[in-house]
Amino acid sequence: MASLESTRLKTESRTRWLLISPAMLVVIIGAIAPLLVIVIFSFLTPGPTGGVNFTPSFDAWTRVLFDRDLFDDTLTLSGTNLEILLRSLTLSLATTFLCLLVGFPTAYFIATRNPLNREVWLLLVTVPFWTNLLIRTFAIQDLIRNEGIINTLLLKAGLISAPIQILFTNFAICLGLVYVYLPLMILPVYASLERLDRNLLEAASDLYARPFKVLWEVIVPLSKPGIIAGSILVFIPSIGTYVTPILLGGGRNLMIGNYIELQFGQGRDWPFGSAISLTLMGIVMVALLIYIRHGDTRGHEHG
Amino acid sequence: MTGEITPGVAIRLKKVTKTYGSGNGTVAAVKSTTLDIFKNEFFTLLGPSGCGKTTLLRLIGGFEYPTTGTILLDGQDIASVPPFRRPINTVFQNYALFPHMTVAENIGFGLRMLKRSRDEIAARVDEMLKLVRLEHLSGRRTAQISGGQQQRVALARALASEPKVLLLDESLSALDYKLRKEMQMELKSLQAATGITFIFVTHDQEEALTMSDRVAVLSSGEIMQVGTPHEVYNRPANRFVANFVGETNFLQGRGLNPDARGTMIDLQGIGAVAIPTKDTVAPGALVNIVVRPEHLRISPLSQEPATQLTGSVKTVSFCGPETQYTVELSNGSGLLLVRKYNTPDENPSIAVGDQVSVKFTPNTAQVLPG
Repeated sequence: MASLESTRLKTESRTRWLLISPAMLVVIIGAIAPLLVIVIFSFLTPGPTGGVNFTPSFDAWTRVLFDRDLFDDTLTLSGTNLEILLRSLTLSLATTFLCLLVGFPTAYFIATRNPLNREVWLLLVTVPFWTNLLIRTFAIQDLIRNEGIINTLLLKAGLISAPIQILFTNFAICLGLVYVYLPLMILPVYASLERLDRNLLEAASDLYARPFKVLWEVIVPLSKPGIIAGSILVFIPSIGTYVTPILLGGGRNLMIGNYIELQFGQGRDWPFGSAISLTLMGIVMVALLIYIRHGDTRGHEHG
Repeated sequence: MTGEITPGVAIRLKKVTKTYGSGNGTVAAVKSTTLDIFKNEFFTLLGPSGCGKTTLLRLIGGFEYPTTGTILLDGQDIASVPPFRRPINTVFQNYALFPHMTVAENIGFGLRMLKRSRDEIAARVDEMLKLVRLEHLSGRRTAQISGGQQQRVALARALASEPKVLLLDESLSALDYKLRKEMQMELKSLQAATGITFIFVTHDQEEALTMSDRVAVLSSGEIMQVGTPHEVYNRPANRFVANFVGETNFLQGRGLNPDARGTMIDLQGIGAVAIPTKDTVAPGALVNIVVRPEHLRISPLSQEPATQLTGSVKTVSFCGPETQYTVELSNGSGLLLVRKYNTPDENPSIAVGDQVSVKFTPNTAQVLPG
């Protein structure tokens, strides 16, 4: 009997492996293999016309943080690289925060409509996705440039005497990112707000909680899964964004995504590009760990 | 603030109406309702679903505002005061416990919102946990405790801040029979112990009769009768109340000229019967005679003369303490429900198909307009 049982288990586990093998294959080819290539590249030296020379070196990694002096090989902290890393981090954190600030009330508004209207509002939230990202970003450019609609209106109204420089600033990048990624915040937050038991809000109100307290003590803690999901969905693509800083930052305010592209393109320094890519991954992972850990402790405080 | 203080009255509703929708689609959930609920009272709003009892409760709780009329709490108009400023707390139908908080945090929530000191909250929470006998569960999440325990947490949470009035919205309906019976007793004794006015909403007439000091019976947004359980059961004001509160037989009758014995009714199949009534019945007027099943006596058909109802037994159902019979009357006026208390040594002497006679004492019956 025992051997029969073990044969059965063996066949079962074989079937199981067979069933997940297509997915495993995709993951290996699509995610693990390229990542491995990048890790290997980051420890090599750049080839003369792109590509790599198979000479092991830590040079690429050193240059993530330090500049090597051309003449005496001394290392100094790299102002440019740190500035780009810091800008990417700040801009994407600001974007996440602003998306939450705008997205939460929007999601709450939609979740409290009647079911028929909810569908319409949700559809409207996804409308921007129907248009190409480039077109939308160009449209923003047109809105905020010096001769654009906003400046023209303000000038005509006499509120300002000279056009405000909005385009090609960090603010413009942030604005563009918030606009592009806002739906990614609204949708998960909406999903958790929509499941919220309305009775709990009445119960809180019944127990002397003013509207703001109801929001802070009941709605926010209970929609935390949506807030965390939304923040992750906004933070990750915005820290690695490429198009927005080019079109709205004017190429002067580089973000890490542009910097990586530069290394693989004009810079012809694949190992360095690989090292920065991996640095970006590291930053994202650390940020997520901190965020989720923090969210958890807040949850424990509440209960 | 009208400052109209009537001693003894906790909640006074004056011509309160609540309508939903506008224009042609208006639905009146509560029609002009005037009602006094006394301090220290266990008051029940009883009615079928859709009768407006929950809307009435929500108006008192502040979750809805009346379309017209005033609601006074201790003489002060609270009709437009939001719930978080009313010293009235609610035990919700589904309990509405906060899932992200522990049992103790749930109970202390109201006091925390009232900005009481940490020590006071802790002491009060302990006191409430003891009151509902849940000390051992204070640190649990609400999802980790049973339905009956959740019910008691909801009760403790609502009582923790010592409200003037406690509202209970069908609070026992989710519990199983045994637990419900237990909680009924517990609620009743809690009410007596705390001295807080309880307003209880239910569609279960038995529950209403068991627990309440007074009951208001509602139907389609209107109060049909307010009275003690005894009054509502034994002296129903109308056919609806008679039918909804307990089981009832209606017998058709016609008024006769009153004689020395009082109001005389010509009862179909029996003839002239004297039945005590408050109101006079005009000769010839159609009336309903209300007789409770337990006031009917059933026996095998004997050769006694006319003044009794006769019929054949349609069903016999044994219910433990009693046996219920339905009897098809031979005069063609329909089915009669008869309840007979069982004694231990009894053999079922009446079976389906038997011809039986059914008698009742006239003073257990009541006359309602037809």
